[in-house]
Amino acid sequence: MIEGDTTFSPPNVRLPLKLSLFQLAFVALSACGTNYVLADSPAEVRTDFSSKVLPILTQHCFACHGPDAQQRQADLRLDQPAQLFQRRDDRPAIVQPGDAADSELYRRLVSSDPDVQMPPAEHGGPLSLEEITTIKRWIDTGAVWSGHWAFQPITQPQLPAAYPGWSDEPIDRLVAQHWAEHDLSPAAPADREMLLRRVSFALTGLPPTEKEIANFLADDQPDAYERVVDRLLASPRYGEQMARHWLDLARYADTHGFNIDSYRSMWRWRDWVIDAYNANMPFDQFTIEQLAGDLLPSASIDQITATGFNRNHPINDEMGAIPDEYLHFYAADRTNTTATVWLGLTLACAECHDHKYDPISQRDYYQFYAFFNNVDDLGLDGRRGNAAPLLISPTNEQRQRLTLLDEQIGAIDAALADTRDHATSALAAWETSAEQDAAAAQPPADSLARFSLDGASDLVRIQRENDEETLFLAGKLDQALLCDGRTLITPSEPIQLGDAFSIGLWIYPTTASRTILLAAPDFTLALDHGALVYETFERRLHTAELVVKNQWQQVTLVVDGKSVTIYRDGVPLPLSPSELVDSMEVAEERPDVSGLQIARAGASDGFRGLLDDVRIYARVLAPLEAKRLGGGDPIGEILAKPAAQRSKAEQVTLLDYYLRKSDVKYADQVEQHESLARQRRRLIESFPETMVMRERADRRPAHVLQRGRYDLPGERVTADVLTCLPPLPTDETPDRLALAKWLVDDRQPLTARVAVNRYWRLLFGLPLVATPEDFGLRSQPPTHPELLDYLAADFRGSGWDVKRLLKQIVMSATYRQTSAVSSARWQADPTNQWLARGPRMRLTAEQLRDAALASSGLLSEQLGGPSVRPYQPPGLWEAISYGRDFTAQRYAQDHDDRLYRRSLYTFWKRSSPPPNLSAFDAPNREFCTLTRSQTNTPQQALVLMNDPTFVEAARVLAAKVMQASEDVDRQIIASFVDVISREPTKEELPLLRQLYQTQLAHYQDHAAAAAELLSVGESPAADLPAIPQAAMTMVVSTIMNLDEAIHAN
Amino acid sequence: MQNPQPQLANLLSRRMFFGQAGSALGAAALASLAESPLQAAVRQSAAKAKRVIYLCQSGAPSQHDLFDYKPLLTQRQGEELPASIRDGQRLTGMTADQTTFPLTPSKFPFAQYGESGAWLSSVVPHMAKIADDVCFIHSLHTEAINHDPAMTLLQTGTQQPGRPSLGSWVSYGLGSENADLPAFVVLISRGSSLGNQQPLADKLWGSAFLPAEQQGVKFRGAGDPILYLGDPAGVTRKSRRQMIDAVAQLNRLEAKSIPDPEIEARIAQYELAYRMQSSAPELVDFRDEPESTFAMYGEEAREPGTFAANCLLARRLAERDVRFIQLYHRGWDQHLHLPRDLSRQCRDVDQASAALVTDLKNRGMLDDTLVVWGGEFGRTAYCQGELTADDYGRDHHPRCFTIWMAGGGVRPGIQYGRTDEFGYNVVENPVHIHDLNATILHQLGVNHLDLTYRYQGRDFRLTDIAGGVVKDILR
Repeated sequence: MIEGDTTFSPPNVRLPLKLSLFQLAFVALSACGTNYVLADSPAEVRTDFSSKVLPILTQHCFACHGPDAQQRQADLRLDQPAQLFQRRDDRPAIVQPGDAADSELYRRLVSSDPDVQMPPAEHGGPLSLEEITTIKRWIDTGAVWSGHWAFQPITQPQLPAAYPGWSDEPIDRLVAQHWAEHDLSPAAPADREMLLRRVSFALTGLPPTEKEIANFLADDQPDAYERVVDRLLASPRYGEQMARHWLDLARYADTHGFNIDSYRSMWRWRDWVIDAYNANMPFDQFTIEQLAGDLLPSASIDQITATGFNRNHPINDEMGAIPDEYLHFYAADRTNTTATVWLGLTLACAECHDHKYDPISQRDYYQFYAFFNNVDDLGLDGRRGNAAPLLISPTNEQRQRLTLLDEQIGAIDAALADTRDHATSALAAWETSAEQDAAAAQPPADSLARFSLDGASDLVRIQRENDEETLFLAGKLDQALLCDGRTLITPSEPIQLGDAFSIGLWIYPTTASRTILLAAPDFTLALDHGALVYETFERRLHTAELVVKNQWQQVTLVVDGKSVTIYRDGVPLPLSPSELVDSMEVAEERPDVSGLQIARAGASDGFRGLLDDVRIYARVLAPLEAKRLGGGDPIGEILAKPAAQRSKAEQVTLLDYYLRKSDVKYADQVEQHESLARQRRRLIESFPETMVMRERADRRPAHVLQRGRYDLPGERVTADVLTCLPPLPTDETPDRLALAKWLVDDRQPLTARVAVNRYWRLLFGLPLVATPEDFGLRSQPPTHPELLDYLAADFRGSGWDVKRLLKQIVMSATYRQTSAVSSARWQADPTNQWLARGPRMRLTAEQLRDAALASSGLLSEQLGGPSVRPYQPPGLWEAISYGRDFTAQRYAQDHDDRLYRRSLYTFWKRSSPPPNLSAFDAPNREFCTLTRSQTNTPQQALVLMNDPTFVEAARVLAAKVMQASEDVDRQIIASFVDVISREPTKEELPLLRQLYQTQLAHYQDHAAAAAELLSVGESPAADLPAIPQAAMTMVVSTIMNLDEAIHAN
Repeated sequence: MQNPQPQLANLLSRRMFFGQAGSALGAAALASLAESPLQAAVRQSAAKAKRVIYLCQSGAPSQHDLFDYKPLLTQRQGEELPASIRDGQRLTGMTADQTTFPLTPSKFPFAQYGESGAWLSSVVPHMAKIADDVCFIHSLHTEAINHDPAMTLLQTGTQQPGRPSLGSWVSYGLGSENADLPAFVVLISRGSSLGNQQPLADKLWGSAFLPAEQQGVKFRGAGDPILYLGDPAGVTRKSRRQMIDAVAQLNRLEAKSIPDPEIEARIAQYELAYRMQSSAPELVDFRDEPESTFAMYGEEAREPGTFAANCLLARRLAERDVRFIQLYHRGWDQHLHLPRDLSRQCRDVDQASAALVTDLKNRGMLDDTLVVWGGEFGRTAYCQGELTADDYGRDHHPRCFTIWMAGGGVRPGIQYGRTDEFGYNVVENPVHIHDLNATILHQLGVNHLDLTYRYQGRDFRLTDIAGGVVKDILR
């Protein structure tokens, strides 16, 4: 842009040009009033500069005479009024307002001397006659300079008169004012079916149901439509529809991207977005929490979760890559994405050099970047699950459940303490009695199985390689089994362990290398250089303390869901922090184990040494019990001490032991307590983890990186906003929170314009500014500048109320026009930029799939949660992925309800996104995408005709309509309504009936084929005759393939 | 060239992607575009090549063990790489901490082949037979030192995700000459190496900000050759025909009230899908190939999804005028056990690569088909890990590597560019990835400076801000 960012009358204005834009804007506002209000005044001249002259200068001149200092020629900038209108050294100003012929700028354009002519041949040569004329006219009419339109303050436009006989709502007046110029007039209102389908898809991403259509058609109240809109905005489906759009901007995915592209868990952030839209969170708060929720005073879990927005970028973990290179990539991605989404600026262009067209220097870039390069992250991360910084982020429901459990546990705690307080004297009596027998020292007797390994036994099968003889030597208890690394012990009765069990065994290891102690389908316990290692598909835990070679030791593994304790000789060993991996992964390379096995698994090395007395319990052993299993006698030890010498803990242990033996009620309460405590632990274990923003304590310095290279740091810079926009308040610490607040500050004109432009596009297909990702000097000026400003001012003025904005737009007469117009009207404005007809919207990839699921009744309405893996052709991930040792490398398809969730919950692997969504232009999500392309390809036809998703939906919908009526016409009509949201016409119905008849005849001759067609998809077959159902399935599939099925007209 | 507006580009590329379908659009909005100004504008001269077959060797094959013969490495085996040669070169995290960089000769003997006298190792005996048909470039170089950024640079002209792939640019600029098939096809095979198989990603053949229809269409060895190509169980071709006819009739009824030309275009796409359903299976069905084909490409060519089968499929696609045929063969990342794994990889590709060139030549198609063979960077002259009598490994090396090209107007039987006697630095005629890409586009008749697309206010091109045509290697 241009530094003096407001109307600038050249010759006599003496504004100090060092003033910032912000200051200038205020000078202008207070002195001259505002620009857009002047609807019928010199605005025309001004508009002329901004929309006509400035684009020419930008396109043809700025590359050499613009903001980029490196490329600048002759020390001349045409993006600054001072250089145009002031004398340069002893030469006159290059623009003489009112006199093109006397202006150097103009003379250069028309010169035929190649040394004088501008632009020079190597930069495209002379301008077109039309362009030259525009500049001449501009100079001749006074050369009034104004800033780039998007950088002007937002002002409420003066509303023009209403179009005669049409709506007088502001939006409609601002749209209609352009019609005369283009010889247009409004289209008729859309019929109710069309309108309902359009607005239902727009606000919920789903078609209206048959009942909703019937209700709306029958509702003759004047506010019938408004109540529909309110219903849609209040539906939880609204948040899903709006979030879908936001996920593209936020480059949300379920994998890390780059080389390995393994699993990450960010669905909590995705659900935060859904919830925020559903709760109608104001857009300023929506902005602040996503960019800087972690920096808010006493930030809540949700607010920190929201900052996942800027952790959604790809993260690399390629072995051998250089961390600094990727730290730069991440910070640059956050910078560019934030600038694109909120400012609509192509900041990325200034990463390597000054921006060529917009007034953004490379220094500006790295000042903005400095807000984002102090995240406490690693350059290479994400090998196993998420990449730091992380947050354990329980859902609301989980938090409520935790509070409830804590209350219940607290109550029982109190009751137990009370019982103990009253039992001290009874304990003393018991101690002196004979009851305190030696039985206490025995291991718990209720084992599921016990293998003494004292010799051959019916209880176990012991196999050695080549059927060698098994050897028993003197053991810990009687004999023990000698294991040579190839010895496998399998219980004769297969043992299936639940998710709560305990296993104890005596071992006398003779080697240090990694060997297997226990293996089951979902875990292994191994000995690895002394450490005991517990491994599941999800994680790996190992003890810090080591088992000793050539010595008897007792090992007990206690598993309680995700909580694992490993005892050595009855003493619990500290465990390494768990490494989390993708629990959905099917790890095919794990040994194939069907039930519990001892000492060996698959081809891996088995245990070497002596093994004795294996005990398996189908329950969790308490620490005291584990101690006894390990050969200890904890109660006996306490009893042996004089009462006065016992510690507080020992006293409680003893008392507890006594009461559990003697007081049935107490024992029940303890059991209840344990059960609740277990539930609590399980609950906490199930809390999802998510990636968030967190600042580093020692600040990572930001530098201007020469040529954008991470290894060429130049001048050091501190965080600041762009110099071409209003500054940060001076009393703010320049951090992300200050940046976020600045983005939604009233003085900053871009955010509101950029946001309303996107929301407008969501509803109309075409944005008001055709380049939603670029509001800079190379942008397309808005088709309706007054409307854009009206919406922006209104949006901001309403407290950034998104639902209000959307409601206002969909309530407009403009939105409610029909899109069914004559060919002549269509040709008059093929892209509908002047809005003299209703929007005809192509459904997005997600809407198409969701609509098929919804109309058939298959759609699951579950809101949020981990991503799901519906149908996908086999082999896609496997063909490109690394495989071993990483997650999300093999596609394990889900089943049941998880096949029918809304598409925004579909697992998004960046290197291989869902193919049926990609076919309909869904992006890879490797970078921020504002505009999806809208293509029309044969692959799309193949998806709709052949993807099991759509074939199954057709089959199920066919069954649904057949169950409702036996009349074929009624069946066709009902399915047409479910898919197209209206009844078929008199011309359409016979065509479909005829198709039904030909298919029916075909399947009557090919009954087996009918059965085959009805077996597509995993949902159960309906109890209906196969032949007509197959024929009706083909009819429904045909309806789903209609152009009208993939549009909301 | 004048930058088309995105909408215009959409329309244009759509009609060019499936030329015949495009003409069926028939809408007034498109009438003025009949001459396809974009296509006209990008053609700087008569194209030498009509199509490209790119045999991309993912993971980076070792030039030291295949193409770039350095006797000095044998003479000085085990000696330290001189610091003056390394010259501050940044290393990957895998060898940066290595304390010694012993010079490592190839275990495979080299000899000269053909009239051109190209040096090749014993592990590529079939390539040796086509030495006189091929132009070896020994001086390729890149900035990236890791697979993901290097492959992304090779295929999209930048190290980070977000730019269209080479094939998408070609598809966008030139469109398709076959109405029944996409302009840009991707074929993937796994290597036989027992070590790493570096991953691939859709972005390598993605269209990024170009219209999504320009992305590469995968042809697969198993299941449907094209995703979702097959009709569901229980649906016959006849039923499908009846259904598509009904769709067309009903869509035309809709078009009476909604006069959107897109509706007619959609009808055309269904016709095309129907034709593709027959043409694609016929294309991947090798039963019409004579025995001599399999003698030439190797028996493995009978097994769908192998590199050999993909080479044969590439020839069949080329015969049908598919514009850009992109193969990937995985598994060339020999950090360790190079002798074992490189041999396995070469057994996968050597015979079929040579067969493809010979086959195209025999059919008179090599003149207008450009074949490119190479990976994303080279490998080090020094050993990664332990250097023993018969085992070694090599790390990534960005400063030089060898690729070869054949046909499509490239001079056959020449060696271009030279590396130093350590095979570490380029000393003559360096060729950057951008130069390679500019040259490929040039042979297709496209000036790489002119094939641009405006996105986010900037005119992007495949070669970013660099690239020059390597004129010396052209006929």
